[in-house]
Amino acid sequence: MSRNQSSDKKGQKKGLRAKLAAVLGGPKMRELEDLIRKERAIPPRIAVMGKAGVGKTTTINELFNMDWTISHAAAGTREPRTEYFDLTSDVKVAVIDMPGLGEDLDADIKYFAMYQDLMPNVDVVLWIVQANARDLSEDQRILKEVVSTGSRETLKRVVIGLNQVDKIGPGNWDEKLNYPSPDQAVSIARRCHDISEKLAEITRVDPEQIVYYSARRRFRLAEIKQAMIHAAGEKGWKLPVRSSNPLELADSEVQEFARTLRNPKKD
Amino acid sequence: MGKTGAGKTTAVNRLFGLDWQTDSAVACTRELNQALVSLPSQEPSYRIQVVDTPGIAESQHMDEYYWEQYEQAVLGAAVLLWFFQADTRVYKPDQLMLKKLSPLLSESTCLIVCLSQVDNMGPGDWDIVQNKPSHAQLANLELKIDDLHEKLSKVVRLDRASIIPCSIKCGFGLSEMLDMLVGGLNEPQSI
Repeated sequence: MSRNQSSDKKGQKKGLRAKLAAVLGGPKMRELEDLIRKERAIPPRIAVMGKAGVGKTTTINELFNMDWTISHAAAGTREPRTEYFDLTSDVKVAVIDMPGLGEDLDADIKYFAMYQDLMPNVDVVLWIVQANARDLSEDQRILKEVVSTGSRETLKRVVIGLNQVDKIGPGNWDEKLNYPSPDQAVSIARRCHDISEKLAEITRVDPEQIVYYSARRRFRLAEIKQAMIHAAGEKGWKLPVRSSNPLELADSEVQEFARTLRNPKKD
Repeated sequence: MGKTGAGKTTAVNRLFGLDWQTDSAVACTRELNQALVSLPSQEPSYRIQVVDTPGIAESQHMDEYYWEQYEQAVLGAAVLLWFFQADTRVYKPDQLMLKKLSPLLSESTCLIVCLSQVDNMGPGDWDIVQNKPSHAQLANLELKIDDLHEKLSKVVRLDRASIIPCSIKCGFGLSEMLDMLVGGLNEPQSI
């Protein structure tokens, strides 16, 4: 945005404020401003949790257009990392990237306590599961002991994201369309159904709060975001909505075709 | 042995020309699969018994349910082939199971770790032309092997050289795996 445009916007905002004050009157206007100030002071807090290597950081990067470092081989995040994102010019969202669990016998005890401490202080818990790995005993244990010990209210705040569905067998993701191939789509549905059943058994999380996606392919990011907004309840409106565009990863011809579908008149 | 979904059955099917059932979505090996096979490429030809097990860590309490089968599988085994999915980073279930199994392994049991599905390793840009890991994947692979070696060495004795990267889907690392297996079989057996 150029400097001119931005000062234009500020001017517009000032004008609107004056109009609003005239309509509401002094006391009501102050009440409203107080309310806004109060809400801004408490940004919604999103904790991103899950086992080691499930793609917590990648998910944050794609959901919020960030550029945090990703580790592909060995241990990644060691300490919880909180970042504040701007939603509008001065409304913020706190995203907490947690160290992965289950990585090693020794480190786990410390991380476990860290998770338990954090739970009561967040508005949304995004629990990420690696959908192309089939072992779920650790997820069940952690979810049961960390997440489900809370009240029903706590459970409502949980979204379970099944990440990396693009790697589910037979593993023939359609690179050109950036979309699952038909037989992979069948596997994805079966795999995710199995995971949902195994996790629901333990956690009593509502099936609508379990969403499959692929952060790397930007596949179904909107569905994850929607579930998070729902889970955040009263604070849902404060969550940022824009994510990375999956079409950008498709073939350029596919992108062009998709544009003509959106704007048929230009064709 | 190894976690569910690591590719155990797919690998033994490919290595020994078997046709045991596999599934890309859910766990399907529920009991021990056993077969006597020969390695025709070797002189003299080997006859070996292959025992394929249900995967570990599928769900809470399933490891206990399968425990007797695991016991039966490893007792007296000349080689324990352990599968670990390369694009995952959760070692704890493997550590716990290997620790529990170690008293059952004999001095001469040779542990080989198959680092499977390396084509899926980050950043996921497998070299299709030469059918091998990309430069970036190769660098990550070295780190991965170090990490896996460090984590498993806490509970069992394991040579770093006994960790073999492979991708059954791409037909990568199969001959290295067979060589390692034959080497393990040639170790003097204690009876």
